[in-house]
Amino acid sequence: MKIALLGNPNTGKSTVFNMLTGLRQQVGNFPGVTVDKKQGSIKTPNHTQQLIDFPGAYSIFARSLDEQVVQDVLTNKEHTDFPDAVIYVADAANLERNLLFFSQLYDLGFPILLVLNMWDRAQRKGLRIDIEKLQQQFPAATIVTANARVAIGKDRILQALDQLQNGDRTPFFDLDLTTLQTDSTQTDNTNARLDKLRNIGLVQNAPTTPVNSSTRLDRILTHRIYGYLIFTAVLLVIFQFIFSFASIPMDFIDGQFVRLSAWGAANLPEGLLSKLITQGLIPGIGGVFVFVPQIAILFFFIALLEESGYLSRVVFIMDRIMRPFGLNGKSVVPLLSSVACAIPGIMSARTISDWKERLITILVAPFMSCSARIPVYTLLISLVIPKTYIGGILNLQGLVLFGLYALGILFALGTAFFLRLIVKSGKPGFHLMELPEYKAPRFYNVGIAVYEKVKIFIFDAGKIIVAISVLLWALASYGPSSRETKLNELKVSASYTKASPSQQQELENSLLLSQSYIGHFGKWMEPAIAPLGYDWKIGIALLSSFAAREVFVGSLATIYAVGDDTDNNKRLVQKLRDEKNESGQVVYSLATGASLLVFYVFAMQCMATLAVVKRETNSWKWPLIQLAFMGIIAYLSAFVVYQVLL
Amino acid sequence: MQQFLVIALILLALGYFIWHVYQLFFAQQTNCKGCGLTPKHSNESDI
Repeated sequence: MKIALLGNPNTGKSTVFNMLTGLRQQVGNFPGVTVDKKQGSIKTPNHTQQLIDFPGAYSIFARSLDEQVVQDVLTNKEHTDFPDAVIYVADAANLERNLLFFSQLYDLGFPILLVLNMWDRAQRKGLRIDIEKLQQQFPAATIVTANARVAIGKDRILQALDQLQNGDRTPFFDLDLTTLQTDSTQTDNTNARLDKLRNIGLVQNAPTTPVNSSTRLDRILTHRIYGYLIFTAVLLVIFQFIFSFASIPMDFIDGQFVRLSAWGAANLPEGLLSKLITQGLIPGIGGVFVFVPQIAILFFFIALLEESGYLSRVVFIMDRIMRPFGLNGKSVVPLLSSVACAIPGIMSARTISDWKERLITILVAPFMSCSARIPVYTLLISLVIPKTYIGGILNLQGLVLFGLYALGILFALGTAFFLRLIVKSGKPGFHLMELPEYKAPRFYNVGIAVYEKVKIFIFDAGKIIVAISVLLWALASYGPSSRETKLNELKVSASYTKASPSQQQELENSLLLSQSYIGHFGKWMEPAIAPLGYDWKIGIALLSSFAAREVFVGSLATIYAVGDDTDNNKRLVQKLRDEKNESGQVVYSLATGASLLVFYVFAMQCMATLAVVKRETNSWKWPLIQLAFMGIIAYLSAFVVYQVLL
Repeated sequence: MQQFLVIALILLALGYFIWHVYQLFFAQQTNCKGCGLTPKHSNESDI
């Protein structure tokens, strides 16, 4: 049996979903659309059921793409996701508004379980809800109370699911979808339905509403000055944590992969396959796993801030900053979502009704530093920025990371301002949002969020990183026939014959790599990137990371593993530090490192983001324009930074 | 045998990469009503 989990946004629906399914979840898409579909299995006393978490919706009459998905599924019995029953999660503290959609679902005839969630919050607010009266109005519904954040109500929900009522019922209100086709008839029907709900008198307010702690906290956290200072401090703390605490598990993971590679080289039978394993696969997979601690820390904090209700305040205060730059109030959520990943950020721009505003938001969203940049940033920062503390507290590396995020935000705002001068649009829209009350975060929910993100990073990004590592290994291990001739020439040269055996091996490896297919291609493109301070190996890593930014690290790991297989015990950072150019200078100098960092702040190095922009704009024109202007900005900025610091 | 396995792995990686690019840019996921920057959709509002 399929059960739909429905409700308004911000009612704790996802918390109920996590509570009921635990880790038995899969994330996919609703057929034909790019709206996330989470599903999982639940065990009631008598059955095992499939639970589908739908996007939050306010009404059966769709007003956004998310609601359209809900409407399409619920009004089409042939749809593959059409449910047999519904669990409706309502915020008990805002019951009347939440009952609008519930009453529509009731009238559509679904067997329905109404979960009055956040029951404790309603009581704290002094609200008295007459459940008996509610049951009289909706006799065919089953009603339970819950407080999913602290896992209260799980058994009640599971038991109630086995007792849902099928069959005929007296409708609460008229809902003939065949006649309610136009906006005006839908609005009239909705208003009349809301009036009827209000007139029942289900909720009695407490005589006076005292100023609660949430309101008191908001006075500080959304303050015109303190609000921003606190937010900056929160970000600084997160970046400090990423650098200070991730290094221990990262070093451990890195060490294990280096050891595995060395063990493979020593124990596997000599041949191509073992080289592919030790120089292509292991460094590639290691390049994915080594960044798991940092990704986990970043998403731990994001989930913590979201759970506590603080992230909504961030949206609120950022709205104030973005408005002078001409950004729509509704651009705030897409831009902030892009800090995790530009793809959901760009997709959430669908809520912006003015298409030009939406276009500007889509075009600037990838400037926000996403989590895929973290591996690149941290590798380069640890290479060229010393691990010193400012004032004994602030880690300089963390501060630089913070600066890179700030640079991305500033550029997104500046570009939006500039684009608004070119792309004419109507008045900026307004963003209405509800600020949820502050709550102590539930670490179970935080844990699930981190687990999901890490899983996506390992399996989605990981697969493409490994595939590219294997391809790079092949291109770096083979070359045109002239390679052998060059090798023979080397072997009779004076520099070779005078060298020690290990130096001879290094010379051979270096020549074989530079004469490989990838070496030839890299040397061909080197003149274009030399003004930025990059050699051909960096160029190859840069090019391959067009697939996804994180690939940069895996590519360097593979290229250096092939080019230097004399010492399998060296870590990538050490290999990069030791890398010298033909004139004996360090390749990864401060100028080159800073130039690379700036390049990655601005460049559109993400195939998946381009694909989403293409999908969302329904044309190739915008992704190609975006690729070009971000590429030009990245190139010019990297050039300036390198030339200034040289 | 080793050479055969290596070639198979390389082809697998290449195949996966091409499939990945195809899925991203060309797979049939574009038939959603709300997608596409057409000036205004009847089902989009300011809510």
